[in-house]
Amino acid sequence: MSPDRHPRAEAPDAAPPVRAWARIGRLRAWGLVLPAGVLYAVTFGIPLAMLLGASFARFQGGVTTPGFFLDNYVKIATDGVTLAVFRNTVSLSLLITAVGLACALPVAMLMRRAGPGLRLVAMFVLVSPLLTSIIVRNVAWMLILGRSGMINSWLIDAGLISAPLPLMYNRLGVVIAVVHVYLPFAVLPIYAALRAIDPARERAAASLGAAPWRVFVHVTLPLAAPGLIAAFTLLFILSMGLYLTPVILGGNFVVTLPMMITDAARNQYNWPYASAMSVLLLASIVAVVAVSAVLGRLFAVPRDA
Amino acid sequence: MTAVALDGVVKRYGGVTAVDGIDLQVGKGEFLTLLGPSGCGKSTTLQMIAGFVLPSAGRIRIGGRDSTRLPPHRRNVGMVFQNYALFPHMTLADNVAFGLRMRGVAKAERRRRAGEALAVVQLTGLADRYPGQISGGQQQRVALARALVIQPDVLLLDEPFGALDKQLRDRMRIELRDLQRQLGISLIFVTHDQEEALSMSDRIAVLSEGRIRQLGTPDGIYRRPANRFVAEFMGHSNILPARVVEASGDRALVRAGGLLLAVSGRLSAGGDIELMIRPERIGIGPADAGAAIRGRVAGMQYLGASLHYRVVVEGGTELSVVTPDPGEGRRVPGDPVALAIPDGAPFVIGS
Repeated sequence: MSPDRHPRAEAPDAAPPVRAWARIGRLRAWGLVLPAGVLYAVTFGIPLAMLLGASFARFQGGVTTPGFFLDNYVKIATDGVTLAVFRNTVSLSLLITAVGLACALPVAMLMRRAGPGLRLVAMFVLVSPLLTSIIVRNVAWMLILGRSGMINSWLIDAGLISAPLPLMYNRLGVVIAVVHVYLPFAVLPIYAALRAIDPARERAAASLGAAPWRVFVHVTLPLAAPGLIAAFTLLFILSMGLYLTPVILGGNFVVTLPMMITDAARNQYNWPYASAMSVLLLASIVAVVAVSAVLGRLFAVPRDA
Repeated sequence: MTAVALDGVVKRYGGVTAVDGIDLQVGKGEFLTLLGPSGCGKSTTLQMIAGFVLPSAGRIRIGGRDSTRLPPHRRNVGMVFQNYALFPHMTLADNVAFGLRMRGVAKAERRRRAGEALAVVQLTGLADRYPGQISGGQQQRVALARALVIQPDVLLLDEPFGALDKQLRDRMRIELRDLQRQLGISLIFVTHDQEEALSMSDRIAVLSEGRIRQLGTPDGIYRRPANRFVAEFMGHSNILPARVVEASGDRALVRAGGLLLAVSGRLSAGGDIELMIRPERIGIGPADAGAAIRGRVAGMQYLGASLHYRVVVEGGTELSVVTPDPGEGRRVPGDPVALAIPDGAPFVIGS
């Protein structure tokens, strides 16, 4: 065993030279992440600092004054509109996440049971929306969901409804189109978690008298929790950043915070306010990541106390 | 009274027949082992009793009830899996109490009975640990307690000691056997290890290619194998083709290579038979002129407690001989030796 390859393997009786080697090994390990670290600092850290700085600038009469002002945050808290849109964005994201998880779980369970061929087909079908241009995808949904779109004309032709159903220019249309494209981000982590479950555990539960639904509730679901938490986090984060799909399929009826940010920056040239709203968006995402990290620990299987 | 009865049970997967017509009755309180090489159908048979696999034909009765088509959770069967299959997200107490919870037993009562079951397997005090925090042997015991606490009609164990090291395996054998006797549980044990089967079972069913090749007591199966497969599978054996030289009543004289041996069994002169002699039944000593069977050591394997010789006797037949290690005076390859095959040691396979 070479000490430099096992920097943490410190025996209590390790001689000083070994410790020195271990320290060098640790430094070398840090050296490995240096290129990625520099890249992140330049492309992520610095812009983030600039964003934070800009959010404290003052914007008055079309003129931006750098400095430390709380104007923008006061505006967020008091203008009534921004917070309403923020709440709307959060509730839309939660809705998309809930619908997405509900759709993803059965798909992941099916993929777990499927043979390799069917699994490959399912994987391709799931990922295919990601390979399509977002504009094309949304326009296709308009053709399907519109007043005289595919679904409404079928239903009217079949005599099931007399007037077209409102399937888009509302939350419903946005949720359908977004879940369609984000589904793989929910299915894959859940599928990975389900695959890691030893089927003997579920059989053990059945042999102990658990009906199939109780096996699912008491064994499968808790053991798949890490995958569900990951899927929840991914879906929520992705949904908080929605812009184009609500614009196209929501009409002017679904307004998200990213839409407001774009408007402030591009139409009003109010970069400080756009920055402050971005900080709010970012903070809410960090909060969700933190919560899911805590949840992840809660559901982690205890080992070697 | 039978705990489990299999009646002409068959399992086919597509064109492959995994289990090919098994009839078997396990008595109340009996320890029965399904023994065989991998792919012999023993695990499939167990899975059918547990309800995880539906038979293609035949009937299965458990506790007097026709259970052929019953789903696993409706059968009162306890199962211990090879890798224990504990619930890693539950404490040991919750693992053990799971079956009681599914049966609607109240919480306090559950807790009490789980504690008792853990005491039976000597794990008192670990109730609040998680499976990931205990050793493999302890996990095995939790799995046992979890299956026992529901008071199953039959306890099924699928190669339960496969993942344990040899010492622990030997200890678990004794513990399981004692526990089974003490609680009077009906038990079906699946293994490919003949030593495990011999040391624990009331009866053994030797399986190959989906059929029972022999069903009997450990002693009967070891000493009186019904066919060549069983003779070879149950430990080392010398199997010699032989011809009956002379027969009278239930005694006969047979010739196997250069050996002339007396055997018991109703045989007819001139017939071809197969003879089995267990290596530990053959005596080995220094060569002397008067010995009936003389040979030369071709090889010796040191096994600690015993020595395993290969001896070529006059006529070219090679025999395996196992003796306790005398410490002094071991034979080495090339040594001339004399062999003694006592009366009753040669067994005519299938007689």
